[in-house]
Amino acid sequence: MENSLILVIVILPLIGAALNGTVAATNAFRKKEIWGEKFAGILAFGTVATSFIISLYVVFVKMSGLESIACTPYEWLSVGGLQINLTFIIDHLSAVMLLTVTGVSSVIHLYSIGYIHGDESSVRYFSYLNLFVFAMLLLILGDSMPVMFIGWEGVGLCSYLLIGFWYKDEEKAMAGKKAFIVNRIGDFGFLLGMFLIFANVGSLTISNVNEFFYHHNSMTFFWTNVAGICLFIGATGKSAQIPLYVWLPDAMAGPTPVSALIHAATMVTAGVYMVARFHGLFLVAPVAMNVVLWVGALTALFSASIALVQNDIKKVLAYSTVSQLGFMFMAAGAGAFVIAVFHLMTHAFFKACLFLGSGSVIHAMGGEQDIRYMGGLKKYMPATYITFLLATLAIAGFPPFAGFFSKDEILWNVFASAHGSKIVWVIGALAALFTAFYMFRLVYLTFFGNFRGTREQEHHLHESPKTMTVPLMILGGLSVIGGWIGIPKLLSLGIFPNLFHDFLEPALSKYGHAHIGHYSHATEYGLMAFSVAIALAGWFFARKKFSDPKIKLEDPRNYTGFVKLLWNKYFIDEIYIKFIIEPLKSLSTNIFLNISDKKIIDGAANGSAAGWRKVATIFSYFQSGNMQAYGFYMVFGVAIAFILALFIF
Amino acid sequence: MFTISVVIVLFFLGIITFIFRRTLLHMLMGVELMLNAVNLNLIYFSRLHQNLEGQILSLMIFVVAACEVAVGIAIIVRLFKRTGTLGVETYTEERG
Amino acid sequence: MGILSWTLLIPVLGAVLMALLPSRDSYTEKSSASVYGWIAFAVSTIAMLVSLFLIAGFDSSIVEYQFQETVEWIPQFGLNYHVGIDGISILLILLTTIMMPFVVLSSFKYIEKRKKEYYIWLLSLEFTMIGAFIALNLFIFYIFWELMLIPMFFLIGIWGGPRRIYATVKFVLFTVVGSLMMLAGIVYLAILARQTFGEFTFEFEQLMKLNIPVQSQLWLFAAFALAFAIKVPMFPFHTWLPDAHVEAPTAGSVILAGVLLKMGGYGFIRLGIPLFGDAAIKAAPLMQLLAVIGIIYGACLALAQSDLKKLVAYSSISHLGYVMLGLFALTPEAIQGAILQMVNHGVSTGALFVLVGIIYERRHTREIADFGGLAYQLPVYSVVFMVITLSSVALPGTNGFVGEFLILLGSFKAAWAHFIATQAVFRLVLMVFATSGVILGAYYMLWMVQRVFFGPLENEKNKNLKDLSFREGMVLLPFVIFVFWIGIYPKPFLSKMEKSVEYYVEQHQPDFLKQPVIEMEQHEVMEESEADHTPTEH
Repeated sequence: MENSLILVIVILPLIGAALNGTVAATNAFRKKEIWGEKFAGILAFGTVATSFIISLYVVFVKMSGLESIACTPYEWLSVGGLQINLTFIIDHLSAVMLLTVTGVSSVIHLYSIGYIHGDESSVRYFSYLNLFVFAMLLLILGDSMPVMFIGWEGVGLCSYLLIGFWYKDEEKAMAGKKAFIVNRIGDFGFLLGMFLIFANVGSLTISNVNEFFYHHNSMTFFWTNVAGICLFIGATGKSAQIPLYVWLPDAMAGPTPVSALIHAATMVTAGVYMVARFHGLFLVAPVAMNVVLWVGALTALFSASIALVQNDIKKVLAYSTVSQLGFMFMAAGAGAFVIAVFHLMTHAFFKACLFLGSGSVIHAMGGEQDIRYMGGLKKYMPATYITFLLATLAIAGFPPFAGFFSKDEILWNVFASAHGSKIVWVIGALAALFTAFYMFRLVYLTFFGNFRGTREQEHHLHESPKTMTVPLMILGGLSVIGGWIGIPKLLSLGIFPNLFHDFLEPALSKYGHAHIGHYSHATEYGLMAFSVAIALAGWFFARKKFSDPKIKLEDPRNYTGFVKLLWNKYFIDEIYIKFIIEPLKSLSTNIFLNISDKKIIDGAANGSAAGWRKVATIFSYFQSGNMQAYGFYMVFGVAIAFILALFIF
Repeated sequence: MFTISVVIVLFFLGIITFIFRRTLLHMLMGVELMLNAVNLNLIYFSRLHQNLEGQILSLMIFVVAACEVAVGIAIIVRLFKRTGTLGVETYTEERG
Repeated sequence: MGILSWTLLIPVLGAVLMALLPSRDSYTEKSSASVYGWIAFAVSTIAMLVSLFLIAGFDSSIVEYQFQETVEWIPQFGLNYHVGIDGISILLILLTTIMMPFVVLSSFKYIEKRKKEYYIWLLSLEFTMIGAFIALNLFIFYIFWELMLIPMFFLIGIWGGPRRIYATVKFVLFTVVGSLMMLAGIVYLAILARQTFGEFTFEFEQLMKLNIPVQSQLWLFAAFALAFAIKVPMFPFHTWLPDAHVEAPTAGSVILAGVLLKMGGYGFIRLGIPLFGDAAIKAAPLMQLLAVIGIIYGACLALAQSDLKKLVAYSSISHLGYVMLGLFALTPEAIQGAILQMVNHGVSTGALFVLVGIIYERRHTREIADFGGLAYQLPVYSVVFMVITLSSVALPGTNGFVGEFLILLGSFKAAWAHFIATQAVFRLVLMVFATSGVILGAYYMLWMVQRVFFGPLENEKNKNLKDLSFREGMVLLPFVIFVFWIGIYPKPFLSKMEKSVEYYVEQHQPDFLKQPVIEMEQHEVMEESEADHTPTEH
């Protein structure tokens, strides 16, 4: 088989998952260990890290100069006009994702070894984590929509399993279930889009689909956009956009490394990746593009505003993730797919760092997640503090940290692109301001001031072990330098090449790209400066409000007005429960089960049976049980028949 | 004509026995009587038409009747052992 | 006598053999696994092994019936023992024979009274099911179709739960109502055949050549469809199913879900559509509508259940809705998906019933509320349950996905072709609802899993539960293997039926579906000619 190394990349995590999974089940069954968390962790980390190294080799050595390389282990199915090969393809787009995912995954696996230490089902944890990487690789490398969908749902499954990892806590299990079902709603859109495309294209291979839409789109304008929007519904589910973002904040019930890996760095960006993958389709579907742009922008602002007042450290980060994903969709909607993927990558670095940092904090605090009871942690855990701060600077958009380049470019593209819009740019800028504010609020309340927790907690405060701080440092470092591969030409005055752009642009501009309006360099510089000003403003407000060491935080129950609305997340969950879940349940129980099934259908069946029984009672008088009476009836009947035969007929 | 009359008389005797006698054993005998009347009828007509089929059929009926009587008697004996009576009014389980 | 007849006869020979054995109680009291159980296991295993020769000798490149055997029975009336298999039936036969030994194995502990009788009925049931799948003579088919009721009647009626009499009578009455309609239709067909060919015939292939006026086709189709729809069961003829499932012993439920319900779908594909092609195409929108109602209705009702077994039963209705949807789409993708989905449903729902049976044997309750937090106490059981659940919610990588995906894809293709031809959106709307079934499916299954396995282990009675025994593991192992095998590498299964289904579709496809195929070919030509044409600006 050609390029079988690709297969090795994919299969290694699966092997790890299978081994650890079998051992986890056997351990639990026998209540004794074949191998414990140490070996499981090393195995899991080893497989993913090996995958990463092979990926590096494949991308930089084997693929150099080539547009893409592919590997087909076997034909998955071939039915009628549909033929699906299990093909893995690495092109420039999937190469970026591949390196990001395997790289960040390796780091987080390493971190997990320290984090999950002492948990009774740590072997199971590593098996899930490996399985996730496997599914994610299927998603990224799948060459056709169904293979992508296998990974797409596979990561959903792993997310479900990992959110509900501590299943004994009912709430956590519920959060997992919610994630899966909300994702299913998105998948429903994805499936419909896939069917619509298949009915028209006759193939589900991604390159064929893009080719079809760009070169000879036989679908009407309306249906092309419907196809785009259907796919985007899938993306809203996986990437937690309005209206399906509700699962992501709840997903924080899972272990923190999981939040970092799945719910910040990799899985949730799958939607963005998918939109970028189908850029050929989206570029000819302007309405769908506009939907992507607006949903992204609104999500960015909406969830950033919720993050302003949350007190749970992970919840803040979760809403921040939703908001950042919104930024990515803004970029995609503006036609700047390269920038969307660029932000996806930098976001993976700094958000993973933030989550891992928060995990380190929670670890030190003995499970406490409420920032009202933290404070002054920087002197206890300097490594965590510094990396967290670096990542915060990155996400807030301070130059020259990674986030600055990507976020600035997003705003610029939204401002200037033919697909963009000035109003969306304003929304984006506002969201960026919020981002800087809530992130620095988090930093001040967590690491500065006096400690507000209990004595016991204070006594236990400590820096996390090496396995946890090393990943933090790696990711913190990447948060700083990660953006340097994508410095816009304008800023570096053409001295450095924009490596990222040059690498990705050919793959993503095959089918044309969004038209950038003509603006003077001064405008671009001005907007850049404005971005920095926004970040500074956010920091300034946060400092003013939260840097007081003896700060007293208000009880959320006393919130009023808009803050109360924000604290309650606009009551979206309640609305969904009240207007969708409850009616569905009551429809099922009260109408379908009790009325339609029991009364109408069974009623009709039992009723007709009862009717016949009534008729039968009349005849049953003759059925006396006396045999001689029967004999008499018979003779009587025969006699009548005789008489009829002889005299009448 | 005489034979036909005998057949008719026999058959009606069978019917009357079946309908009016109160014991299972008698009822069975009534049934047998009817059956034999039919047999006689077959033989008579076979002779009348100079055709052997009727006789063959009646021979077959003998065999079947023998089996049937064996089974019938066996059932009756079992019933008697179980309830101690052969009165037909006892066996009304088939009442609708 | 060929392999096919042996496959058919071995179970019934075994049943007769068992009937001749003495039925002393000493056999039953000593151990939980009685001699009879082992005999039945051996017999069904032999049948399974013999049936493996079928698949080994099956040539999937030809469309004719294979392993055909004909024995004249009453030639004057065209009643011949004529059997054979093609790509459509082979998987279903193997499903039956492979499932049977494990079904027997699963009932060793559950059945406590009248063991000999029980296994005799189980084997007879296998005989009748195989018979119905291989019959190529309508009358023989009908005989097996009706015979099937008898073992099931006793299985539910004797070894069932507290309301078994109600359930079994309901089951038989519902089914018989449909079958009698079918019988009337068969008689009509036979008479028509005599008028056409000059003699009675019940051979499938002969009957398909009949030229039936459309008006009578509609009536005949209605008669046959009623019989099949009740068996499937389609909405609104489904209410017998939950009762029958809940009352039936585990093995009964497994067979009922695993094989018996497939009879309906098989009937449609083997008889309903081919015999009355025009009527079937006319009725297709209605059948698809009922199928989609079934999908959503079954899912909603599953959501409302508090009894595990009832939940699984209603989920069956939902799953079989997909099968019906696919069959009446009449595209190769959808029909192959539907047949595969029949097998999948047998595997995953069958396994679910086994699993529910296992927990019922331990706790003597099936109320979801009595459980909670079992994942910790029963790790292996939970893993298996989870795997089967995921297959039931059609997670990619498991068998359920392949079937559902193909069905939905193929049906959508048909709906789209219909839309292009007529601009009517009805079928597209139907497809949207059908696809939404994947959401509801995930909802009710995962909610159930959550309530049974997750959360704290609070109920005292659940704290001493034992995990799977070796025997139970062996029962479940093949199910799990098939879940992954079909999910990860479905090709061997699909390729078995590919040719048969393609041939089938060619003959029975409605006109509007034939057009886009041509269009697409033209389109590809266009693609090639335009390949070197580079777009300038976009």
